[in-house]
Amino acid sequence: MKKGKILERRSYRLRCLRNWALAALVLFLMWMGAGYPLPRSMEFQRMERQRLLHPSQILLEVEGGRSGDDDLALGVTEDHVHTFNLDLNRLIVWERQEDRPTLVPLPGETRYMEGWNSYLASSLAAVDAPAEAAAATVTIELTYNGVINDRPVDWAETYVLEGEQRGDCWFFQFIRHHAGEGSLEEEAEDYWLASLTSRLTYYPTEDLPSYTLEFFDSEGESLGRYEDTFRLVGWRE
Amino acid sequence: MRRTYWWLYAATKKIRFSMDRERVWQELEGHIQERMEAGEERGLSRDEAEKAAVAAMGDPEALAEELGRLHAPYWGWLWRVSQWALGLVLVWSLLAGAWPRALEDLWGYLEGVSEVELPPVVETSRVEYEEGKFYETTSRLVRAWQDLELGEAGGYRWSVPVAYLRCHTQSEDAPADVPDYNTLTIYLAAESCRFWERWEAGGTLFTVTDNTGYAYPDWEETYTPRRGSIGASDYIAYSFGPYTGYETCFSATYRVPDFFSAEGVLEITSVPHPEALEWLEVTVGGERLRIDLRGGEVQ
Repeated sequence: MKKGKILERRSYRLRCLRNWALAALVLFLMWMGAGYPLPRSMEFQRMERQRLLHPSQILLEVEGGRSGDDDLALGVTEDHVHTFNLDLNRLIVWERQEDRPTLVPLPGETRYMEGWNSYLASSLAAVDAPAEAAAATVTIELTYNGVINDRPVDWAETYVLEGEQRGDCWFFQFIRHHAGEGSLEEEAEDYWLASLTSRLTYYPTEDLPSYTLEFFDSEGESLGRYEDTFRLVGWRE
Repeated sequence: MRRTYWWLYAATKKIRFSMDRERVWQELEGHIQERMEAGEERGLSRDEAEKAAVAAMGDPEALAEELGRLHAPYWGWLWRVSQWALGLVLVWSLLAGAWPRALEDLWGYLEGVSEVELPPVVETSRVEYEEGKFYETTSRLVRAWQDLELGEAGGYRWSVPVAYLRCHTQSEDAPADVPDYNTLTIYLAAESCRFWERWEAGGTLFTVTDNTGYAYPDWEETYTPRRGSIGASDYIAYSFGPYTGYETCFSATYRVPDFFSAEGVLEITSVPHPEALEWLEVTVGGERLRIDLRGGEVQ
């Protein structure tokens, strides 16, 4: 009788191990092909390790969608504030103020809703706010003096951004003043807000705007008013 | 056929993996059938043929022991699950379109990075600076270093596979704004078994100082943007500021990584006192790496 054949054919151990090994290999190749993705919080830590930076404590995470808004985060070390853009693999390092809150721009756009419409906006985040703060504002003036479509533009606009507390951070968004007008002012605003991050990070020597950051308690009393400018340590891509 | 049934029952009763029991039963039954047919052809009655066939199949209890051991449900189910898992993973990988990128990466890793070679001791290049007008640049290899071990920092093992200092001399007909200058090129390699987090040479903040205390500026610090115009499609034009390409500064670029290592190329333009250069300290992120640059004279 062909007992040997039966026994041989029905031995599963090797085939089982072979299948699992092949599945693991395919999964590994997929992981490699996708650029070794990790869970979000581990991605931030990896970005820091890859740049030999001290690990930061993540205070803010902004989850991006599929329509232009990026996965952003903010972390703090003793001396620095790290801002992350996961989609662009970008990590920017800012000075952390010793005795006052620190305001930094986030390195990507975030989404906000106005009625049924949603828009992308440049965003800022503040850390080390007074513990009793119940509200916060950032006042910032943006200016543009140049040429748009061959027409000179001298544009200045003051933005008062209302803060939203998110954990240990305060989060601010630039809500557009002009929308759908087709005016030069709108183009200048579009340009400024679209390039805010790059202006403050890639070419920080030009026109760094100063800002006023103010915190209020639940009674509306001011807890502190801080006039400052953004303090970039560096970035690379 | 009752004899056959009981023999098969006894032979397969210890197979606990139910999917196998049926198949083994059918296979053994097939063997008995073949033997019975052979017996009947030899002139045996059906009953005698069955009896002979079952007897020839051997002791069912002994076979049952062996089959029971081989067809343990643990391996059987694991095998079943492994088939499904492999199938799902293959379908997933095809749907995700992961193969072209994975194979491209794999090929890149297998191919590896080309070995860095020292440039020739003397090299002359012809540069056209205006239409029909040329000048010559003679580049001489002055000092060169190879395989400098820098030690561990930040979880990476650092080394300099190749570094070299070159002097570039312009011919007399060169324009006045093209000076003689030198370049110090350092290949900085970081190795780690953590292949999923190779050093991001392109994303790291560097500072560079030397033994004379000179702190080299990043070339980007010598770059000043100039505001252009916003056109209908051409949003803004940045132009170079005072940067000419010959100021003392360093730049860092990224080389194609190996599976376990990544390299950055640090190029320093116009080292102020190349003859006094003994070491260079490169701060990579928060870690300091000292590169010993004594010796290395090229004859």
